[in-house]
Amino acid sequence: METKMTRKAPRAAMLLTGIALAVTTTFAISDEMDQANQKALAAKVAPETAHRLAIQWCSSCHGPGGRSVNPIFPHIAGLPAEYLANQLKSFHNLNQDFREVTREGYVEQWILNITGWRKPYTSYFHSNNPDYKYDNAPRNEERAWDFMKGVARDLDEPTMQALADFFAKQTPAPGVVGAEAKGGNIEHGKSLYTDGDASKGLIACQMCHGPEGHGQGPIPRLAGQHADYVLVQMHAIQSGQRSVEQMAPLVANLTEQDFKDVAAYVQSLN
Amino acid sequence: MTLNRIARWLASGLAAGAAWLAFSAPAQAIPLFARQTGHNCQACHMSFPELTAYGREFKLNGYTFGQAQPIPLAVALMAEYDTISNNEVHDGPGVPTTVNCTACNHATMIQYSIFFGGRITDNFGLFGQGTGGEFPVSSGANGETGGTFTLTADNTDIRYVHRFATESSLEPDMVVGLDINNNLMVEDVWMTGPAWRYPNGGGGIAYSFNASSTSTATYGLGPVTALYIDNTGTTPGNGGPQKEVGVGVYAWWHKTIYAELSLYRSPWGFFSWMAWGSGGNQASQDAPAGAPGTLLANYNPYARLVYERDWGYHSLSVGFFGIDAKTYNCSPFDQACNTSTNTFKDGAIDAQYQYNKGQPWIFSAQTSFEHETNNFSANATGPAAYVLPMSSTSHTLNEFNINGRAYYDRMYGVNVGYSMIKGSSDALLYGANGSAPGASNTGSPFSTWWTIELNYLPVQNMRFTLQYVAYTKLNGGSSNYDGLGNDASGQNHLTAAIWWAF
Repeated sequence: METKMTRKAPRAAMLLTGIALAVTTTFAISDEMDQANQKALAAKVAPETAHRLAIQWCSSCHGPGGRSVNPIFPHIAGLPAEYLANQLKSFHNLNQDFREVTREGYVEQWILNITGWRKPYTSYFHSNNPDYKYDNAPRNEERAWDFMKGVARDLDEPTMQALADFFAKQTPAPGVVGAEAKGGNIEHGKSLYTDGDASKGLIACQMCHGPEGHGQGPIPRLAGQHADYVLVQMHAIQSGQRSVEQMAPLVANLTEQDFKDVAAYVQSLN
Repeated sequence: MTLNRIARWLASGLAAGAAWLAFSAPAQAIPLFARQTGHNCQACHMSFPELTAYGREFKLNGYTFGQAQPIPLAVALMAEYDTISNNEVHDGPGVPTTVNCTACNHATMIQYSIFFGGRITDNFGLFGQGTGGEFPVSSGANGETGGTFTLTADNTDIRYVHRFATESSLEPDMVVGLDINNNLMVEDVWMTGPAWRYPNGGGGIAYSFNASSTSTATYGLGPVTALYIDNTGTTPGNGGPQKEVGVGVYAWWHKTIYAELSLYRSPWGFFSWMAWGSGGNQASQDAPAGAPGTLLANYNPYARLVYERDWGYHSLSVGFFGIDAKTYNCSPFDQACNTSTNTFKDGAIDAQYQYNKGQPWIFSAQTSFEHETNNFSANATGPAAYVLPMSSTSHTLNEFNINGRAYYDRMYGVNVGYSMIKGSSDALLYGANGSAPGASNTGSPFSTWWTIELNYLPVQNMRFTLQYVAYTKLNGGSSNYDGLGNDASGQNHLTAAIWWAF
């Protein structure tokens, strides 16, 4: 028997469906608006966020204004903004795909993932690598993994750019002589830096890094940089742990002493 | 506790851990703070738990760096096997005890911890830990007893921080924090205080090994006393970790000067949640008749001052810490208790040096000198159930610790430590009139010992440890120190331990 209830049922169903549709649509639209709003908001607050992060977090390792104490952490004050932004993005990308940067195999990466394995100093994975010129090359990428991969993991693009802009504006670290890279010959370093060494296939560093070592655009400032840090990076570039296409062939034939000499020289620059 | 059960437990733990590791994010199959920050362990630790300069920054900033995790948990599993070289304990001068107990010269421990907390907001964070485990003590022929796998409160440290900085500041001019914790000095970031210093961080605790059923002697005993601030539970009214709650404020100025003032009190009433599961209420604080209670009376001031200077790869800090504590001789909730108090005045100076080049070698060393003046008149006089025999109510104690370590590639480590306790004599308090094995025949607490440890970390979140403790002097003597024929070296023990966190 038809009751009031069953007569009302179709209308109730339609009402409910209508409400559901409205709600879903509203959420969908608002989700899109949300994303757009969030992006706009992120871009707007990025300088603020970057300033706060720089003061509260970055300074813990890189020092106040990006002038660090421990050479494990490079000076980042006064480095070109484009270079800094590229580095942050590259650290950010380490979280997704290390293979591109470190050139290791998928199997090794999988093992690294599940065991938390850190690449040992003389890594089995590298011992047969012909690119690995020096068995005792320091693991630069290890530091990127230890520290910066995590820091950059949660940064969005506007914040990374704002951080880069912030540190680019800071007063760079002054030139220092003799503090690090013990045994580095500054005179020879200067010669390599300003004239290069044709016999080793090295063009003068100043061609890209500038006569004063100030760098520009995507090329980092070297002047005043921790010589020990520069030394580690040069090894990493030579061995391919740090992928810098333009640099790798240039430093392929340089020796440990060459690295020390250049590092000592650039640290002395202002 | 049979080997079977240990093996099964370890196996299931390993399986669970492996599953977790396999599915977790890359290279972040490591505890809570590592997942929060994305850092590897060595960013913050020289070797767990010792903190690098950056690790100190992380903790002093309230554990707030990074991104709060949806599941803010981590787990650690620990297994340990201790063995004593000399399983004979003498019951009388020149009388060797025949030990027919094959299981008596070793003890095993298995323990798990759950860590929780991390960043809550930009200004608020915590380090929380709960622990459960079995601490079997050999007793009788092969029987092992003791311990429970129930989770109870372990070190917990909750912070609210504010960073003072002006528009032009390039780092916080000063970080000021409010802190609540449940272990004396657990809030400290330099590894010189008793809560964190070597060898506690490396594992290896002197267990009581009971001798055979034919002897009532116990061995595996160490120094007969400790200072209040050592928080070992061995002195009258020294409760141990999670038997106190500290509430304080600290300031960290330009990464150079640290100053802290905290008040420590008993963990009952409003603060009993800080000692959850461990019996932080007044009933459990009331020790069995014949032994004094462990309750701190009212609020007891603790102060800390540190100067740190970092240059190149080096970090040097020097400081002071001290506490003025009063403990009840029994529970004030016990009608019979007269609630008079024992007093402890402890002051110490400490220093830490670290060489952190990251790779391949890192070095560090810590040292501290602690001095105590105490007065146990509350437990000298009564009530009857809590009277502790003593020749004098006032004592002084001095303790010196120094230790150092070297790590290669953050994978292979060697640690060496030397400790000394010295103080005024008390034939009754420390000596028991020569009738207790392990006590002092001369009433002297003078003890010296070395702790040597080797570590191997095949992966960054797992550590294998081999630790040897060698007593050169115990309780006033090196040979026959208790008048019953036991030598200090008879208490030397070797510990093998595994620690795995994920």
